[in-house]
Formats: sequence, structure tokens, C-alpha cells
Amino acid sequence: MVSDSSQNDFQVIKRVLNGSTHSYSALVEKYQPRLQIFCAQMLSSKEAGRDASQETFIKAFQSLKTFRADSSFAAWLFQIGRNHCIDLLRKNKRRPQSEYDEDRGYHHSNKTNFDSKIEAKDLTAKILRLLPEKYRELILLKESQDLTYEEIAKITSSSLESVKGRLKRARIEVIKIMKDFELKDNI
Amino acid sequence: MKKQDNDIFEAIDKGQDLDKYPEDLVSLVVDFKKDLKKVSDPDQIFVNQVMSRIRQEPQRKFPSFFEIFSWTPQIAGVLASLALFSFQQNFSDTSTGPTTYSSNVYFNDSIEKDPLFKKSSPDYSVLLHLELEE
Repeated sequence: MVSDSSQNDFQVIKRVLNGSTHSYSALVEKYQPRLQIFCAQMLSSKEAGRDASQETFIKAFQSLKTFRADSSFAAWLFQIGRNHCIDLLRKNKRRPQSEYDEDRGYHHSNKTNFDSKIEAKDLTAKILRLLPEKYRELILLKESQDLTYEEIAKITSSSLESVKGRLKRARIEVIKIMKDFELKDNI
Repeated sequence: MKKQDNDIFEAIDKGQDLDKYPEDLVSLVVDFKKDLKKVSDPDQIFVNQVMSRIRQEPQRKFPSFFEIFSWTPQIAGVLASLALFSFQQNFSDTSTGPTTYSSNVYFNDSIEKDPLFKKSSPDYSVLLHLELEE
């Protein structure tokens, strides 16, 4: 069952592929807020998130011919965005850690070098920063983007069962971090 | 941590009774979920920037004649390598039958039967004949 929103996206894509490049702005306008926040949360940086989402839209435009209408445009776009963010995170991991990172109270093996730019004022940002990358993306795709398990499975190139299992472990991890912060606050 | 605490996420989504979960934890998860869903309004500057970049980097099309022409040396190189490889394979293969140009097969089956080959061999019968005469 294709939703009305997806149906509209398909029509826009058809127009773009028929040569009406400017029609693509409708898709950028529609998905920019969601994609930008997703990339920013993946990379723990607003600036990096903005750049990454721009790159994602451009990559999506360049590959639009390969888009198949068997999935939603949103799922396809987020797949490109997710892969781009993972590439950036991997590139950043190869660089030496910044001094700012050394000064964190909570050490985690999956912390990224984008941490130095983090706006960790609130608990949500802190939790996302402390979540391992493999869990962070699932929490964001499910809780932030409201995507279905099927869409998440497609985006992460995993099986449905694997997504459900990992999401469960991701939620356990979120609650563990919440409780750690709660304990610290009460001391 | 109680094992079922992670079910708070699903319970909130499904509008189930949350009484069995610790109150403070429920409140934290509710805030977390709300925070994650916060999105900003569409940013027209962002849209313009993307569209401007797209106009500079047009959609990938089939390669033009000039692009294909520029690949000719590489294509020729690959074809030459393939031809050389194929040639070497044919002349080094001794396991196949006489339909190939295997050197052994050619030697065994053709050269020995070739009258020219026989003619080129020394004729020892002449020497024997001379010895007998002596």
C-alpha cells in the first residue's frame, strides 16, 4: 500500500526525471528538516549535519534514475544519508582525538570526533552522543523519523529480525544511560 | 535495571498503561522521545543552496561521444591485454585435444607425419650402405 505522501513523491520524481530539475526543490523542502536533524544527531553536530544533509540531497539527485518505486523516497533518501554519515564518522575516527574529548566524564568506545562540536546541553543530546553508532542510528530512524521496521531494515541493509533485536538492545542501552545520569543527579 | 524497562518505548507508542514502570523513568523516556521528534521549519536558504549546487552539477547522463573518445587508449590497452592473455593460454595448454594449437599435439600428430619433416632427417641408411661396400 503506497501512501499519498509517497505517491506525491513519485510524481515529483517523474517530473524531475523528465527534465524539470527545479521540481526537485519540492522534495528538498519536504525532507530537509527531518534529514538535517537526522544527520546532525548521527554526527552530534549541527554544522556537520547541515553539510551532510546537503551532500545527501545532491547524491540522491545524481542517482535519482536508480530509484525504484518499490520503497518510499524517504527510506531511500535516509539510506543515502545514513551511509554518508557512517562514511564521515569512519573518516573522523581515523583522525587523532581532540583534546576536548579527553575531558569527558563518561568514556565510551564509540565516541566520535564530532563530539568536540556537540551541543550537549540537554539529556537527549548526551544520550545520543554516548550511544554506540549501531544503536544510535536505529533509535534515530525509529524514534525520531518514525520509520517502519521494514523501512529501517532496508535502510540499514539488515533483516527485519535483526532490526527488531538491535532496536531492543538500543532501547536497553538508552535506559541504562538515563539511569546513570539519574544516579549522578541524585548524588 | 528491570528487564522489561525497555518496553516503555513500545508502551508509550501503543498508548498502554504505564503504571507498572517507574514514574521518573517514564517521564525521561517521554521527554527523550519528544526531543527526538523536534524538527526545525524548512530552511529556504538550505533549499536554495542545494538547488544551486544541483544546477552546477547536473544529473549524470550517458557518456558523451567525447568522453568515450577520451577512453579509447584505455579500452585499447585492455583489449590488447586480453588478446595477449588469450594467445598465451592457447599456446601453453597441453591438456586439450587436437582442435587447439597445442605445440605437443602439433608435434606428435602433424610434424612426424609431415613428409618434409622426414626429408629433413639424416638418412643413416646411406652410411650403412657405404660401410658394407668397404
